[in-house]
Amino acid sequence: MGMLLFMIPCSLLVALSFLWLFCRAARSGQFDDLTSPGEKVILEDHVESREGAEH
Amino acid sequence: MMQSLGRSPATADHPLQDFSAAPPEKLRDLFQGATPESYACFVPSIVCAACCWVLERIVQSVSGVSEASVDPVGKVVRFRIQESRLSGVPTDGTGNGQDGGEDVRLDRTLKDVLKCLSAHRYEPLPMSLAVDQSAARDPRAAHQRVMRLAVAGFCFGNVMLYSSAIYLGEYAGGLSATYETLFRFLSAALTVPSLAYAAKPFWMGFLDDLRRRAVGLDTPVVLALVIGTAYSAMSLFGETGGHLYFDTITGLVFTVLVARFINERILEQAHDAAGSLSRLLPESSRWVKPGDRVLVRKGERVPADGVVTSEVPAELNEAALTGEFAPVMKARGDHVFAGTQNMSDPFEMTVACSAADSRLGKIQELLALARSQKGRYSTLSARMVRYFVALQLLVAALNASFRWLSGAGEIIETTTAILVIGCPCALAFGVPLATALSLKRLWSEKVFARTESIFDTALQVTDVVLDKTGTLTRGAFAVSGAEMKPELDPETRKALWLAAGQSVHPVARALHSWLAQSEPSGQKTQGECAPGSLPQIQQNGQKVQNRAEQQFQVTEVSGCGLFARDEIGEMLRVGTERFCAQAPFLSAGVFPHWVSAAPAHPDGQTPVYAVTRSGFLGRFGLSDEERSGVGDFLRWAQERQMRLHVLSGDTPQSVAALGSRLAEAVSGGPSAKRGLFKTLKGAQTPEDKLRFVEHLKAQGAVVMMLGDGVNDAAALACADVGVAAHGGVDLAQSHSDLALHGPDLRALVSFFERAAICVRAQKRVLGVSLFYNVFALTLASAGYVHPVWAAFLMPVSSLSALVAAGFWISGAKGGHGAGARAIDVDARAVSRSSHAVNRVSSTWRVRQKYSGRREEMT
Repeated sequence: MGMLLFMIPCSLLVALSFLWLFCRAARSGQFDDLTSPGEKVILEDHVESREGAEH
Repeated sequence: MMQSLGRSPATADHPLQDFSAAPPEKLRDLFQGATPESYACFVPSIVCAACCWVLERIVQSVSGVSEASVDPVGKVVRFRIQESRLSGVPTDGTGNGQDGGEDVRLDRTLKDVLKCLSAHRYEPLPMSLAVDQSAARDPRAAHQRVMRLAVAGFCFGNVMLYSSAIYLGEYAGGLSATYETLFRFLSAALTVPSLAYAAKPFWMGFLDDLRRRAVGLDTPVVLALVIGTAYSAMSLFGETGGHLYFDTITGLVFTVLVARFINERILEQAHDAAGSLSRLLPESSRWVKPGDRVLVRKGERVPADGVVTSEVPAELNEAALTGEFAPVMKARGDHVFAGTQNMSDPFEMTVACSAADSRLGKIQELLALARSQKGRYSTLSARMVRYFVALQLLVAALNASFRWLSGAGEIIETTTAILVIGCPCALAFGVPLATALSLKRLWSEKVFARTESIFDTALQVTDVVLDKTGTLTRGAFAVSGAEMKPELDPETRKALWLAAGQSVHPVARALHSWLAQSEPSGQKTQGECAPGSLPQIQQNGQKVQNRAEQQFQVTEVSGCGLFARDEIGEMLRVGTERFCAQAPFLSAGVFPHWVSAAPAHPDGQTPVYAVTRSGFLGRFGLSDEERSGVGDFLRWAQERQMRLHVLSGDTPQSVAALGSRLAEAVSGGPSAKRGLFKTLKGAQTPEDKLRFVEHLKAQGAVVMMLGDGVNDAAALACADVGVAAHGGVDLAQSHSDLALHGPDLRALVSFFERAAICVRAQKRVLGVSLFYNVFALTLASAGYVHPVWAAFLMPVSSLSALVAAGFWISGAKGGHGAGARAIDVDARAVSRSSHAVNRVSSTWRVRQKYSGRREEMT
């Protein structure tokens, strides 16, 4: 049972670190746009833009 | 993309072209992002994910920028500028002190980014100009919503761990006092962030309620939290060692947050359908002015409503407005609408009004109105929520005082349970959600409702009043019968086609397109089908027309027809019988016998004659075609036992002719045509129509009026349900409750079906949640519900209301959510296909340019 006194702070630490990671991700915009990253995968790697049509 | 022939004057007025000349402080204000060190700009030319990819790299390649992100939906580019001590960029000593140098560097970097964006043809605009203001919203609010959820979940999960240990300890016969105290204090400590941070929206909502002196959804939640916390704190620090409710408290915060999060997300998505309309407009729509001449290339979208000025007819996809994917031919003089897409060769147009005044702009206004006006059941549910919360508080108070007086105990448990489980969240969420989903599905079918209450009223309709021209019929002439001289030679035929093409009169246009599509029987010998000859004529059209313009001159005589003259003199006349008979090149009695003998108006057709020097050419009967789906709608209305009335400004004869034709079509034979229409009236003035509708209403009927013209507007406004038909004038649309944006009248049938589904779903949600809440209140005051159970059941009930509302709305017909996404998919797919056209042609140039640019920067 004495082990609990060690395990509980450990589990809290792990849980807190995950919470911190999640909040950091949320704050940096990880969950802002959930649609376009999926579309980017199917695009080719070359750079393309609309500008060439004008020049 | 869009190249205006009058670009230079338009861009001169454009407010931000000269941002490089703007003072630095102003520049920073304009592009200030959510936080002091971040910046944001609105880039309307973002079209797809490829643009985002490029933009992120462009912005990141500017020295001094630490990170860049692009929001493709809101068309917003966000970036951060590095602090100088981290960046390797030396300040070039222009600033006096550290701060001054820092400011100069900031301004320079910002200016670099903006210049770089516009050099790549992504014109940056300040966020205040963003089309979709929701995208301009501070993203931190959304971040906080997610983080609150995370904190609440973290606290709840860990508190559950310790309370389980305590419960287990009690069950197993005793936990050592040290551990029990440790667990109790740990769960108390973990409740603090949940209450202080995650539950903040509830506290704020409660304060708002207090300020308004009303009770809302947050009131019972907050009361439950306060009572639970107070009791638990007392038992924690008191000597009794009583029960702790920290698991209930954190669970309540978490589950309510989850339920509201899901509800908000669904509502946001439903309302996004309206926002996606504005994304159909190209960037040039922001600066074109009435009178500008604009070239619309293949695949591009029309920036504003206007008139075609090119000679060559254009094909436009108007699916964004009407839902019809078949391209529509637009010849010179025809109106084109903002947001429609050019499927054919480039054409030129003159802008008639700004994007805000365009048809698409009007639709958006309509949608915004629909959102702001509540229907009967929504109002009812909002009122019921308030009464129910009051009732709930009363029950809680009565229960507590009764238990205290009678000494029954369990005061805290039952009060908390009542406050939690009786909370009418299902009531508050379910009905608005059902309405939002229904409206969204209607939009995808191009039916735009102005109010929510229309759903209730539509189901009680007993009488349908219909306008004829433009409502039951297309409102456009088409040649429905032709009696031509058999040996009409191709030259004469072409001359007739060209002469008719010079006029913008609807009759001439109808004749023109009919001649292009039909071929005389003699030329069909090669096995070509009639429409196949259209391109041939069109291809030659350009050349021939130039020659034709030199050859003959076309003059219109209003109310009579038109004549063409060549070098010799007048050679062709098209028009009324009298006008043609008076042609100077004809001797009297040139009309064949059968022409004078045959009835002039068979089936209410309008006859048009054509004569040349060589004699009589032919007679064409023009009539207005019925709209598609008219028969289906009438049959459906007849089955529903609605009384049908037709009121038209047209002659009584043509109304009667149309009436019997429709009756035949609907009932399948002339024998049963009696009784389809209760009233068939011609020669009606707007006042007559209004009086008729008023008369019906006075008799207790619920009237639906379907019309399109200025003369219908008063009657539309008076009717219980006014429906503006496709192609109707703005006045009719602004006076109606419902606007059909597709030509097919079957949309109206599906509107009624949708209305029935929506009202049924609203009633069910109301009924089920009321029953659930009353039942739960009874159980809780009897003491059967433990607060922990209540904390679980409450959000479960509201979530199930959401799911049920969604299911009842979308499960009734078609795949789940398939229709709801249609409008969005449609908009994106079309914009992407137009973008693809340009991408193909520009790939290698861009590659070259971009790599050059990168070298220059690094």
